[in-house]
Amino acid sequence: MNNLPIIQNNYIGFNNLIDLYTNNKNTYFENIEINIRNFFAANMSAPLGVVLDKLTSNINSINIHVSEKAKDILQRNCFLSNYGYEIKYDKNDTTIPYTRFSRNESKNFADYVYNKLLSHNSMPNLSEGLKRKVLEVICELFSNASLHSKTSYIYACGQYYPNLNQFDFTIADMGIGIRENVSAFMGKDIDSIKAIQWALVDGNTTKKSVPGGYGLGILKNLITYNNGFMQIVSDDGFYEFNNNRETYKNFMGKFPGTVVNLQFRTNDFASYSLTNE
Amino acid sequence: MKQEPIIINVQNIINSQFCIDAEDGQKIYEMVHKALDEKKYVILSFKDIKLLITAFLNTAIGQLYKDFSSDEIETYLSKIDFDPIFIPTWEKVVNGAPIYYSNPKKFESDISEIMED
Repeated sequence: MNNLPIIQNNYIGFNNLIDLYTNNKNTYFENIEINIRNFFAANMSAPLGVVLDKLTSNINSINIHVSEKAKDILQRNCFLSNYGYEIKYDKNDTTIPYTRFSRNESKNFADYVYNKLLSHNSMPNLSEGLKRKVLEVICELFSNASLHSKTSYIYACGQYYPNLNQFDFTIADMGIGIRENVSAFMGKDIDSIKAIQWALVDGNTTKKSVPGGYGLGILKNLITYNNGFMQIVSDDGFYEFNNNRETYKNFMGKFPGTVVNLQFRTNDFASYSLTNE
Repeated sequence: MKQEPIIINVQNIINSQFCIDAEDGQKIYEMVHKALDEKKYVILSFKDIKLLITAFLNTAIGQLYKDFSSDEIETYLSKIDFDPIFIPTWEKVVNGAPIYYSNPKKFESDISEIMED
C-alpha cells in the first residue's frame, strides 16, 4: 500500500508525488494500491494524473482508497471518476475539473480555461481584457507542452479558494522534460536546474529556425504584478517564483514530465495595466 | 500608383477565434510570405480574434524576418481590427525575431553563459 502524505502546492508536495512514482516505476502487471488519507490540494490532481498514467502504462491497475474529506473534493473535480468513483456535483462551484487534453486540442483547452476558469463567479472583478491576458499566459504553457514535450496528453486542473481570493491552476505533461529537451538542443547533457534557467530566459527556444521562447517570461511578468506564484517541476528540478524571489532545488527522484503550477490572486489584478508586458 | 492592399482575415484562414497553434500560424506565414515575395501590400485583419499567443505569432510573423528586412515587412504588411491587449505580444515577436535571425551566435553565447555559471 502506498500512503500518500500531505500534498500541498510546494516542494514537499511534489517530492511526495515523485516518491510515489519512484517507488512504483519498476512495477509491472500489479495492482497498485494508493491510500489518500491526508490533505490533497485539488489542483495537484494534474501531476498525480501524470504519475498514475505513467504507472498504468506499465500494465498495472490502480486502486485508490480515499478518506471521506479527500474523496469529496476529488469526486467534485472529476479526478476520481478515472478510478471507479462517481462524479459528484460540485455544489460549492469551486473546482476547475481535472481534464486530459490531446496535444492537438489547444482550442478545446482555451475554451476550458475561459469557460471553467475565467468566467467563474469568483472572478467578478476581472475585466474582460485581464481574463484574456490570463488565458494568453496559460495557453502559452499548453503550447509549450504541445510543441516540446512529446507528451501523449496534457493534464489540467484547478481550484478556487473564494475566501482566500485566490485560485490555483496546474498544467502537467508526461513528456521528455525540459532537461532532455534543452540537452538535445545543445548537444550535451545539462542538469535540470540549468535547463529550467535557460528556458526562462526571454527568447530562448529549442525550436529550430523559428523564433520563440517568450511564454514563460510573459507568465512571470503577470505573476509579478498579481503577487501570485509560479512553480516549475521537470525531471529532478524545482523552480519557484514567489514574492519576486526565485528558488531552485533538486529532488532526489524524477518527475516523469513537466508541471507548471500557478497561483493567482483574484483581488489583486487592479495593479496590472494592459500596457504592461 | 500604389496597388490596393489584400486583406487576409485571420479568423477565416484558421477557422478559429483562438490564434494558438503554430500550424495555424504557418498558414498565415505562407500567404504573407508569398505576397511579400511579389511586393504586394497585405493587411492582416484580426477581427473577432479573442486570443493571440507568441507560439502562433512567431510562426505567422516572426519567421518572415528570415527572408525579409524589417523595413520591407513594415512597408508591405499592416494589421487592422487589432485588440490593444495583443500589442505587447506583437511587439515581443517583431522586436525579437530580427535579433534571432540576425545574430544566431548570440543565442549560442547565452547558452554558454548559463553553462559556465
